[in-house]
Parts: sequence; structure tokens; C-alpha cells
Amino acid sequence: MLQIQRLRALLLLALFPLTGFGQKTTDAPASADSARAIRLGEVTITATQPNTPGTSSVIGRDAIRHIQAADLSDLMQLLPGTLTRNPNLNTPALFTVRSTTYNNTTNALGTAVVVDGLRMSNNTNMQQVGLSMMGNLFNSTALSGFDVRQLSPASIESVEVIRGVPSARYGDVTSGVVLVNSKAGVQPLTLAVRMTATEKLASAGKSFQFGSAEDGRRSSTLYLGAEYALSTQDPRLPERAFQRFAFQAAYAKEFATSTLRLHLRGYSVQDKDEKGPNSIDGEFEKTLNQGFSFSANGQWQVQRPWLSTLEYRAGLTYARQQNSGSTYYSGTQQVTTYTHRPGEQEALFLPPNYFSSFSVDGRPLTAEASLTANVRRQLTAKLFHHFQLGAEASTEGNRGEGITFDPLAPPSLFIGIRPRSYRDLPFLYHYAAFAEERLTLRTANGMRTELQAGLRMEGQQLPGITTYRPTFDPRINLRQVLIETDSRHLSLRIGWGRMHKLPLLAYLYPDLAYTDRNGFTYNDTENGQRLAVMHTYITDRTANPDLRLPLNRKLEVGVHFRMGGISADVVWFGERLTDGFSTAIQADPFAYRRYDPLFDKAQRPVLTPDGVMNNGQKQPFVTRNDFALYSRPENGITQRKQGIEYTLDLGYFRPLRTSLLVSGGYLQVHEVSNALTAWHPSVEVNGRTYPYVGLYEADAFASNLRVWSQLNSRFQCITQLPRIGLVASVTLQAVWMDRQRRGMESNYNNPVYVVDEAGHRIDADPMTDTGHRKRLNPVYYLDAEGTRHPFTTEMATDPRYADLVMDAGRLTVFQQDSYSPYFLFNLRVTKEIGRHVSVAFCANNLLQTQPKRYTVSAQQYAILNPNLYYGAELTVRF
Amino acid sequence: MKRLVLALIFIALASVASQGQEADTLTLLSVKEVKQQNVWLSGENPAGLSLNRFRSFSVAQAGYAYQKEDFGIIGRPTSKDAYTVSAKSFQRFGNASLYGLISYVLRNNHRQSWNSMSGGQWSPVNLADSLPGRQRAEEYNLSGGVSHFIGRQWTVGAQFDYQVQLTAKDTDPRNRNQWMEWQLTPGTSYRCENLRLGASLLYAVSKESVGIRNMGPHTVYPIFASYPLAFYRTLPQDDDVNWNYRSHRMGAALQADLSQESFQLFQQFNASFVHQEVESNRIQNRSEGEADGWQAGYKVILQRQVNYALHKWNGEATLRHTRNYDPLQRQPDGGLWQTYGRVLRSTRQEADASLTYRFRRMHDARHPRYTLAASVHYHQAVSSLFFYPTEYSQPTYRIDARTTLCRHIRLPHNAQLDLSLCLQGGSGGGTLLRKNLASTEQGAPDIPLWQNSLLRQQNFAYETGLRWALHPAVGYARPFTGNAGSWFIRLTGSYERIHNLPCPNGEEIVAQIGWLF
Repeated sequence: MLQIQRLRALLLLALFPLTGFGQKTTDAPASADSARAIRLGEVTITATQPNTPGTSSVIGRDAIRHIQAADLSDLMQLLPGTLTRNPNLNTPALFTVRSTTYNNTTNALGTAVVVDGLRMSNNTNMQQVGLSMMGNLFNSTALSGFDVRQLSPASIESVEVIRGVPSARYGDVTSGVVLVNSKAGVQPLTLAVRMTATEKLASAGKSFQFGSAEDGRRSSTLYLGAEYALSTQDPRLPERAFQRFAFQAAYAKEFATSTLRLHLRGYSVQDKDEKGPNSIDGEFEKTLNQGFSFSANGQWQVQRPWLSTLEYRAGLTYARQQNSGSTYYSGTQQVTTYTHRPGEQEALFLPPNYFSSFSVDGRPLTAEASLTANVRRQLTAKLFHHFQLGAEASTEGNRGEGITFDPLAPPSLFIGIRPRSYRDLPFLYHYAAFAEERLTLRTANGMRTELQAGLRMEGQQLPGITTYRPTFDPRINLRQVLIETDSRHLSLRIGWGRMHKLPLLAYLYPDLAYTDRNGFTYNDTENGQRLAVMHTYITDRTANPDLRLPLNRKLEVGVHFRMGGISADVVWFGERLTDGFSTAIQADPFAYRRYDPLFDKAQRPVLTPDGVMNNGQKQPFVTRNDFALYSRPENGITQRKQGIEYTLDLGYFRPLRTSLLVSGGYLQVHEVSNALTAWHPSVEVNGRTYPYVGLYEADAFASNLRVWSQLNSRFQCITQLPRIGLVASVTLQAVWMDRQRRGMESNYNNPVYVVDEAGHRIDADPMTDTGHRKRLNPVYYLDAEGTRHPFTTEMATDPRYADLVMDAGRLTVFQQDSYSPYFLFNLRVTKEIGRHVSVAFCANNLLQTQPKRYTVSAQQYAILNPNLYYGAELTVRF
Repeated sequence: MKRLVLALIFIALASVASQGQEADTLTLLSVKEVKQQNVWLSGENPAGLSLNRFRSFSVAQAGYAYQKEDFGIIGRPTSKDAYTVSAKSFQRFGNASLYGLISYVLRNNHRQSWNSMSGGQWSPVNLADSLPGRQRAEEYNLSGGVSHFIGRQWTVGAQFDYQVQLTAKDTDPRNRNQWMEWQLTPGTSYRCENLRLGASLLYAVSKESVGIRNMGPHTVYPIFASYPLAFYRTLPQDDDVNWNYRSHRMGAALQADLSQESFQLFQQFNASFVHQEVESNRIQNRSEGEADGWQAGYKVILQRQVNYALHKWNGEATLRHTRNYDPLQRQPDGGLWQTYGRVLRSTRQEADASLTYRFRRMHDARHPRYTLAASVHYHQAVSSLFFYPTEYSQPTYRIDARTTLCRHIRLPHNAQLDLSLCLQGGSGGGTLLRKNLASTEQGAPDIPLWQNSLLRQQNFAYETGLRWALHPAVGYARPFTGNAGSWFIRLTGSYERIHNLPCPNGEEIVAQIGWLF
């Protein structure tokens, strides 16, 4: 033990030499019950593991303040294995769990953000243009996770992140659950100002207490808080700004046998990119998101043998989401159509110069209610059980005006898109029930067995779609405490569970897809005669009953021990997500007329039901075959994950008043997207479009597999000098291994192959070869009638079909990129001044360490680590 | 709102600790006074923190400064204003002494041109543009030091200094600069009777990332890479400019302090080596230049305290030499840039020497009566630019003299009023752009360089011309009741005139308010 202490001292001296020596020592409670808890006085600035059978992290108010979070996603870096990321309020922020990247949409989509018991749903966010073909709107999070920028960290009391198998109480989740508890109850008047190079934030909050009874019960409190945030990532562009105004009111009252909690949240979030004097006056892009949420919850102490307590919860969220923009178009005169009818229609000549404005207006609305019965009973002297039985019902929809723009001045972003009202979309109805048993069995010698076993049933009622059957998600967490004394603890735990993600409104009810082809254009400006004819082909996929629900299966095994002031927590996990949402390009063949052009002036062509007529005669034409390409939701993503998360608390070294924590993780993610997607080669054959469309199980790089693996550690020194009220944490983040590669996994025995310079197939491994081109054949091809044919190996060299063979591009595209270790330092300093004032300074990547590592696949260097980020915060409390 | 924020920050920082710019003519109880009592704080060895004779000293202050000039000097705006809040503290805990500093500066440089950098110029090559605009900078400084007695003879210490600054210009072409500098200084000292010897090491890293863009759609203004002696070249306009500067400095210092009754003699030798690198396209490994340099210095402080009179002699000498290189690179097949050598592009040699005598008469042990200071400073520099086979060089020298008289007037309630006046004058000489034949460097790239003759002439005139300045200052300090310390207010003005310049006048005013505790 002495050697361990000496080693610890040497480590601390080496890592944190600026700590005060020789100070008078005072008692500071060390880690009490967790490997992740460092308590310096009243301050806990790390994530802590709660005393539950599953794996989760609790982040308290002091940790939120110490890390100077700008939004909820900034707290992710407190979780083991998660790398540092700089706050950036100017782009949507997603919360991911056990992900190698912060913006993995599949992961974020499956992360449930629950605020005061109310699920923050993004399922009915329709702020988009089509599906994936036309790209997303400015700063939209449609088809992804909830944008956590809406939540002000100043209003948060604590956050619990369930990384492992969640309770059966939580549904519509595949990645993890983020439980946000807002400030409520007795809170001092708090004023805070924060200034960083990019953000300016100010917040205020105070609670009021009413009717205090002698025993403190039957009193009520009202907490009021507000926050304003302004962010400009580039100081050269103050017109590109994010603004957030948020307020919160929380009312809590305790009755003799029941409690009541009311939470009201409001927010107004605006992303604006107003180019102003830098560009053409009047051009802008804007995202406005305003809304509120209201929740009421509490419990009733029934205290009967058959019912201990009854929990109730009801909530409502409503938002007004609006993406708008104005763009100036100049140059050539374009022809377009915005008809909703198929076939030939007269098209519009757009003016050569015009301003175009658009609006995408969404009004997502959710309402939910639940009732949970709890039975707690001491069955025997050693056996305690807690049984929960709950029922939930919720509905969600979107009442927005949808996509609107002037057809006579359309934005280029909306080509192939027609105005659509979201009010025509139906509401979705979900119902769920769960039952969960928590057993605690105490045996001899301090041993204890804790079992949490539950089953969740979830069903949907989706108008027009009857294919969804109720899902059943069993979940189990088991913990065996082998040793437990004041100074020692050893426990093993195992968890397993299934989780389903509910469908998204945009995927269930995609819009009609419009494909417009120009058939005839005549524009005699001298005589004022002009005619444009476009053929519109409409693909009707407005309901998607084949879509399945993504399913994730989690398995984890963990161990936790504490001995002599040193504690550790290690968990291995494996996950397998199937039927993850994706989009794929589909193709429908269609034919249209291509009329011969008119070159003479003063002609008077007109469009009749028989076609284009000129001088009473039919204008000659040829029939062209083409393909309409559109996006369609699929269940194409399969994701396998495994990894290890660890936290090692080396304890508190009193002479230096410093604690040392080591945490980190290993994560390997294997993601395959094998939905068949169409590609129409942009080559012409005899002056006509290419007659075939290939169907591939790959992207444009001839790959459908991404593999990431990462091993990292975080060494954190936390020092407290209570005499001068100083808490400082220095973090060294080390990424020992960082690898990623592309690949190809075919379900049709259709691998990528290698060809020589003459295009002949050679025998080489495409994943390791770097000297030859790599190619991929389509699995099928569609002909002009829409018939699907298998693509054979021989076709790859047949000139009629050779253009369907996809080239992977760079010769090294399948090479693995593996970076040697890289590091960065973070610094957080919080100085308490008296009882009322505190100042905090934070810096991410303190030393601006941005090493470059060679990326074999792209044959250039990658710049690693986030940019230097710093700022200061002043807090005054009374 | 901005003022409110600054005021709130000031209130908070005031309780922490801190610093500010001390007018060198005033003798309020200040950080300058702290250094007066402990000459080791004027050196580079943080182990000297242990030699502080007080238990606790903190100062927090806020200030505003406005400067107006149009001397046409590269890197200087025509006017600037700055808001500062800062706190500095020295504390002793048993055998340990601590030092801390935090400061925030908001700076606006108006009509800044020919300098797209954060402020200080890098040796090899800098970025610039010719369109004036407002450059706004936010700067944070953070320092922490600790020193500890090991037994009765040894002290060990270390200090970490950290500075970050974000700068942005509001007119095309717009630069965004992220500057960062940190410095680690470990040191030790050993006492042998009246002699204390010290040694310290220094490792410093500076980085600056510069991004320049033309954001307006109408005109693409040129962006320049500027070399010494007002030479420059135009950068290609096809991409945004993103350059990264990096500097490593390593050094060491030796100290000797001899105390004999009323005499104290402190000496320090220091030397350091610096290497700078400039990259313009990191992902493709493209380099723009590098520099190697060294610096050596000597400092001596001799002071004698007789009754209530203090005599202090301060001498310093510094030599600096820098060689700047252009890389020899090629880009096979449009891929990574490969370096196969470097060519000497420019050099600079500098020598500085100064001698200062200061006399202070005290009312009593704590209160000064007046201070008289006189100093002389000599500076010599030779800048050379090689544009093979031609070598352009510009030798300059300059000598300045300065004298200061400060009167400290005791007022009722232990208040103190300080009045000071400083006179400064000097002149120099040199040769404007001498042209020589240089030895041919093999493989020297033929880069088209342009020159800005007017800018060079203005810089030369500033460096060598006759100029004089006047610096009046007034300060008032008064203690709070109880043990809450004292507050002070300080106002400093400055007028400078330089002959042979189109705009010969420069003015500056600085106002500070602070709390000593």
C-alpha cells in the first residue's frame, strides 16, 4: 500500500507540478461510493456512477458549471471514452452514447432525451427538403436526434446518462437515455455571465418559497430562471449568429401523502446567416425554433400492501420550427414547372434576375401521459422487492404549414419539390405498457444480489399503416455484490436488453416525388412569343408500410471494486443494431416527348392535348426513355459495436490536495449500409440517356462498410485549495489508437474486385492492394421497362453494360487509416470568492496541439484534435 | 451591456488577485513596488518567489487606454483603444509561495493595414493586406507560479504563463488569428551565506493560426506575404489563405545575488534559442518558411539603501540574431509537398544596451517622498534580405535618453498623491536599403517580390529620426477603512513627436482604477 501511495505521489508530482506544497492540511472527503466521484468539499466535478445495477453516469450542477457547458451535448465529454469537443452553438448539437463521432445520426436518433420525465421527441421534425436527395435545410436536425441546443445548461440541476441497458420504463430508444432534471426546489438567486471567444451567455435564476410549515412539508417552491446566449463562431462574420433565449418555471409542492411537480419550459432559438454587407443585401438563411414544454408529475403514497405508490405524469410539447431564406438568382433564364399533375404541362419562364424566398414551417406537437404503480415490500428479512407496472399513451404530429414558396420565383433548392402542408399528415399514436421487478437479496458476509428485470410492450396506431405489430423488449440487469464494507467493495454486473426505435413521420409518410423533364422550349423575345413544355412524372410513395422498426440488442458485463481509497469500474459491452433507418435512391422508368426545336422567329407554338402544335401542325417529336430517381426510406443500416469503458480512481493525495482519475474506453463500430440504391450513369448512348440503371449495395466510393476503432484515456488531476477556494482540473486526453477504414460487405456475393490498367480483372485483394483500380458491379440493373435483371460478371466487360460498373475512385480508398497516439490538455479553474462570487476559466486543447497524421486512404494529412477553445465565467449567488 | 459585463468581471477578479500596467514613474504600492523589494522577481527564476518579504499582496484593476498616431509603422494602427481588467496576487503559505495572474483585454485597432497578424511579427514571413480596417482582439492571460523552500538553503519553483488572443478584422480581406503562447520556467536557487545562486530553464511555445478571406462577392482584394524591409509578394487568389505559425524557444538563465548590509548586487545571464516554422497547407505538407535564432542577455541590478534613500543602478545588454529561410519544395503529381532544402532569405541582428539610475527619497520606511530616474538606451540593428544575387540590407542605430521626476505627496487620511513627469528624447542614423552583391545560393527560387518604398521610408524615419516625448502622470491612492486595502486611480498621458514624418504627432492616454489588498 505504501508503494502504491508513493507511486501515486510521483504520478501526481509529474502531472501536476504547480500544486501548493506544505499547506496546512484539512479534511476533504474523498470518493465515497463510486470510482467516478471526486468530492472536494461540496464540489463534484466529474460524472459519478449511481448505485444501480445498470451502467450510467450522473452529472451534477457543479460539474456542469465547472466544464462550462454551452449546451447539453458538451456534457458528453464527461462520459468515459468520449473525446473532448468544443462548444459550438452555431451548428445543431446531438447527444450520442457510445459513439466514435459526435454527429452519428443513427446513434443520435436512438438517444432518448427526457427532460423532467417528458420525452423530447424529434420524430415529427419535418424541417427538410425531400429526404436525402436534395440535402437538408440550414441547420436542420430532421431525420436525426433532438437538437439539445434548445436546453439551457443554466437551468439544469443534474443529468443522468444511461449508457447500458435502461429500465423497461424507457421506450423509443436504441442508444441510451439522457435524463435531465431541471432546477427546482430551493435555489439561491444566481446571476452568471460567461464570455468565450465565440459565445456570450448570461443567465439568472431564483426560487421562491411559499407557506413553509414547521416540518418543511406542505410547503411549495417556485423556481424561475432565464438565459440568453449569443454565439458567432467566426468573429469576421457577426451576421452568422446563433441566439437562444430560454426560460423555465418549476413549481413543487408536497402534500401530506402526495407530491406535485410542474415544469414549464420555453425557448426561442434562432440560427441566422445574414450575409448583409458581405453579400447581396437581402440574402439570408434562418432557422427559427420556438416552443414550450409543460409537464406535471408526482406520486401518491397509497401505502397499501398491494400498492405502495402511484406515479403519474403528463406532458405536452409544442414547437414552431421555421426555416426560411432568401436568395438572389441572376444569369440565364430558366424554365421550370411546379405542377402537381403528371404528364405534359406548360412550363414557366423564370425572370433572368429575381429574389426567391421560401419557408418551411413545422409545428410538431406531442402529448403523453403515464401511470405507474409501485409495490415495495420486504418479503423476508433478506429479500426486498420493488415491482413496477406502468402504462403510457402518447400522440405526436405536425401541424405546420409545410413548404411554401412562390412558384414564379422558386429557389433552386426546391427543384423537384412541391409545396406541401404538414397539416395533411396524420397524427401518430403510441401506447406502451411495462412491468419491472427489482429484487434485492442480502446474503451472508455482506453479499448482495440485485436483479432488475422488466418487459416493455410498445404498439403504434399509424393511420393507413397496419403492418406494425406490438414490440416486446425484455431487459435485465443483474448485480452481484461480493464484498461490501466501509473500505472495500467488489461487485459484478451483467445486463442484457432489447430496444426499439419508433418510426419518424417523414419516413412513414414521404412526399410525392416529382421528376420534370424539358420537352420543348421556344423563346422569341423579339416578338414576345414563347412556350416551354415540361413533362412531369410523379412517383407516389406517400406511405411506407414496409418500414420496420430499428432494433438494438445490448449485452454488457461489468466489475466494480474499491479498496484502500482506490476504486475502479470496468464494463465490456456489445451492441447489435439492425434495421437502422437509412435512405436509398430508387428509380422508376418513364417516357416523355422531346419535340424538335423551332429556330425561326415569329412562330406561335401552343400546347394542346395532342401535344405541341405550330401553325396548326403537330410539332415532330421523339420519345425519350428516362428514369425518375427519388429517395426512399429503408432499413439498410446494421451496426455492431463492442467496447470497454473504464474508470480508475487513484484516490485523494492529501499533501497535494489532488485526486487523480483515469478513464477512457475502447470502442469498435462496424456499420454496414446494404440497402440497394440506384445509380444512373451520366453518359449518353446515341444522343440519348443511358438506358439502364444499376442497383448497388454501396455508396459512390463502392463501399458500404465503415469500421471505426478507438482506444483513449483521460488522465484528470483535480486539485482543491480550500483556503483560497480554488478548484482546478487538468486533463490529459490521450488517443492511443484511432483507426477507420472503408470496406464492402455484400449480401449478394458481389465483392469489389481489382482490375489492371486494361480493365481486366486480376487476382488481388482490393482491401490491401494500392496499385490498381477497384471496381464494383451492380447487383441488378433496371431496363427501360423497369424490369430488374441480375448483373452477371460477363456484363462488366460488355460495352452495353460496362458503364454500370462503379469505380471506387482513389486507389487507396480501402486502406485503413491508423493514427499514432495523439494528446491534448484541458484546463478548468474555478475560484470561489467568499460566499457569493466565483470565477471560472476553461480551456480546451490548452496548448493548441493539433498534430497531423498521414491518412493513407486520402493520401494526405489529417489535422487532429479540436481547436483551442477558452473562456471565463463569473457567477454571483445570494 | 459590455460595460456591465466588464464591471462584473472586474468585481470578481478584484477578489482573486492581480496586475496591470504600472506607470514606471509612480511609486504607489504596486507590483512594481513588490519587484523593488525582491529583485529576483525582475529575473527569470520563479524560485525567487520564496524571497518575497510579505505574506500577501493582491491587486485588481481595470483600465482604459486610447492611443492615436499615424507614423506609418508596419503593424501599428492609426489609433487604438483597449479595455483591461486584471488581477494579480502573491501569497505565502508556510514554506510555499504562490503567484497567480488572470487578465482580459479587449482591444480595437483602427485603420490597421499591412499587418494581418495578431500583433507581433514573425521572423520568416508574415501575412498582410493593404486595406485598412478595424481589427478587434480579445486576449486572456493566465499565469501561475509556485516556489518552495527545501531546507534553509534551497528553493525550487516553477511558473507557467499562458496567453491566448483571438483577432479579427471587419474589412475585406478579413483575417482571423488565433494566437497562443505558453511558457514553462522551472528554477532553483541555493543560498551560501550572503550569496544566493540560481538557475532556471525556459521552454516556450507560440502558435498562431491565420485565416484570411475575402467575404464580399464583388471584389477579390489581394493578400500579401510580407518580408523584412517592406518587401512582399502576392498570394494566389484561388483559395482562402490559412497559414499556421509555430515557434519553440528553449533557454536557460543563471542568477547571482550578493547582499552585503545595505548593498545588493543581482546579476543574471540568460540565453535562448528559437526555431520558427510557417506552414500554409498542413494537410499537404506545404511550408512557407522557417527561422533559427538565438538571444543572449545580461542584467545587473545594484542597489544601496542608506537610511531613507535608495540608490539603484540597473544595466542590461541583449544580443539577438535571426536567420530566416525559404523552403525548397516540390509537389509531385499534385500530392504532398516535399522539401529538399532551404535557402537563406533574410537575417536580422540586433543589439540593445541600457543603463538606468534611480534615486528615491523616503518620508519614512513606507512612504516615498520623491523619485528621480535617468536612463539611456542604445539600439543597433541590421536587417538583410537576399534576393539573389542581390542582397538588400539596412543598418540602423539609435540612442535615447529619458529622465523622470516623481513627487509623492502625503495627504490626510493616509492618502497619497503622486505627480510625475517624464521627458524622453533621442535620435539615430543608418542607411536606407543598401544594395550589395550576395553570394549565389544554389537552387534559390526566383520569387517575384514587390516593395513598398513609402512604408520602408516611414519605418526608417521612425527608427532613426529625431523624436522626443513627454509623459505626465498623476495618481491618487487612499486606504479603505479597516483592513480592506486601498484603492487607487491613475491617469497617464503621453505625447510623442517624430521629425521628418508626414504625421509627426502621437498621443496616448491611459486611465486605471484598482484595488490593492
